[in-house]
Amino acid sequence: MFLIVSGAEEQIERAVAYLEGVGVRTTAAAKNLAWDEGKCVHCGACVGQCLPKALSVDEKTRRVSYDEGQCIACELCVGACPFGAIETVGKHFAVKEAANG
Amino acid sequence: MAKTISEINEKIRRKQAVVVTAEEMIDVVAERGVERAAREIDVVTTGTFGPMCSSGLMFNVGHTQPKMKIQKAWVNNVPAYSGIAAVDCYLGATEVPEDDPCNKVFPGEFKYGGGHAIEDLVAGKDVVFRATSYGTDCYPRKELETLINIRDMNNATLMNPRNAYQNYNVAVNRTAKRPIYTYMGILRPNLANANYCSAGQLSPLLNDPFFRAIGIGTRVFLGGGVGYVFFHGTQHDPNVERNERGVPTGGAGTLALVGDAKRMDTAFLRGVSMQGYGVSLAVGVGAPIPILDEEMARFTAISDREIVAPVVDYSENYPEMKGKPLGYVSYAELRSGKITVGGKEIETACLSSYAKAREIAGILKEWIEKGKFLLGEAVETLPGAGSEAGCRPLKMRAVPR
Repeated sequence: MFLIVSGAEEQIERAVAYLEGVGVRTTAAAKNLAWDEGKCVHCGACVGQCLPKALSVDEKTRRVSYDEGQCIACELCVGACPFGAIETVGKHFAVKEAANG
Repeated sequence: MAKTISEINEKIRRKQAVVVTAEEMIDVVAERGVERAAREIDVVTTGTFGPMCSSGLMFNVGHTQPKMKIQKAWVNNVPAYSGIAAVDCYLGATEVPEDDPCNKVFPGEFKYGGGHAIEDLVAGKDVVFRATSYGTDCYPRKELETLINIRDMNNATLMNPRNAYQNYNVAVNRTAKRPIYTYMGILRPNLANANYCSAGQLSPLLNDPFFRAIGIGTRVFLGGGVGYVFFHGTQHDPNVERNERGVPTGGAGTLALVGDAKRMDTAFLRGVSMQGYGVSLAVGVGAPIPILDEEMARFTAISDREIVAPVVDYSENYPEMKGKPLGYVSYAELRSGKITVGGKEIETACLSSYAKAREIAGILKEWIEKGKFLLGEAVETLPGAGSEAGCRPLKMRAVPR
């Protein structure tokens, strides 16, 4: 079942908490990726899986960078990262708001 | 005129040694020439950081009261080998918890294992240490469960039977119709991507192709601390084909390394999860190479353009141990992001971190410049070309019934 809930972030979280409290399992349709630069060792294993080129290695610094605007949240990089530096963040509100939050 | 290691060490003590990284040495030799570079440069530092499965932690937890001869042991639920003295254990980097689903649901995630437990210990975190035994008159205790910290251990020694491979394969998927999950990462079908794993021009043994400098007793950067080469690594193979620069064109020499894990840093020692494959430990290694003469200056000036690696099919040829490399490509091509094999352009990605390798070479350079790190003189050289050392397949023989 799809359920569209609108309102402020806090209200949405409360609505989801209520549903889960009565035993309804919820899965966020909107997903976003969180790249943890602290965990990233800048190897580039993710880059080989990233089709829209949101993840890339800088030619000079050899460091990985993440362009959120290019990311389509396909999640291929999540499994490819040996260091758990990329996570899927499922939010019960729009991707854009999640990014700003 | 040739220099000696003791002369260089004297300069290091006086903080007068001239040190450059292997990356910087390329320009030094290009600008000044080999003869001048050999005269002016004392040490070239190298670095590499990537998954090195043949790694582990040898530790001694100290005796309990009453005493126990540990028969089976677990660190954070990861089995550790304890078939040695009473309270000595070895935690291998690729060990997985017994209740890990592994690849039952394919591809397995392998979120935690030996490499991660080693990382947690080095980070100074408390871990759960559990052990069982059968009990003896001198060691009566049969069960143990306790929190333990690396600080409380008598010894915590990183002891890696095989690190810092001299060159390595470039992995592709030629025949499987689905992505394959390997220790070289995820390889998509139809040669869609190629994964490689070497610091190339910064890598220790690629700067010392004939093991003139690095030998038993060489002091190295290991996991953020100081370590030593204690032997040639397992599968050390000096007889691999070499190119005109003397550099092996495939996996060749390896190092067995040891060092005090209590003095290491998780910035250079990290648990690794390879989807569909297992766990491992990413290890940072850096070796100093004394520039004793012009030959050493020439060796350390090697660049990514002059080092080639074999492109190997991991869907069929590697697992079945058959076929030949699909071709050879240089590290300069690999780092450009694209290689061409058999007329097909393939995107590349690296499993080892060049940024970290550069950082390690830089740290080692600083240690030497500040007089904090002296060069170890090898007490024995590593087996060279023509020796018996090699990486041979297992000859299986029927067991008599």
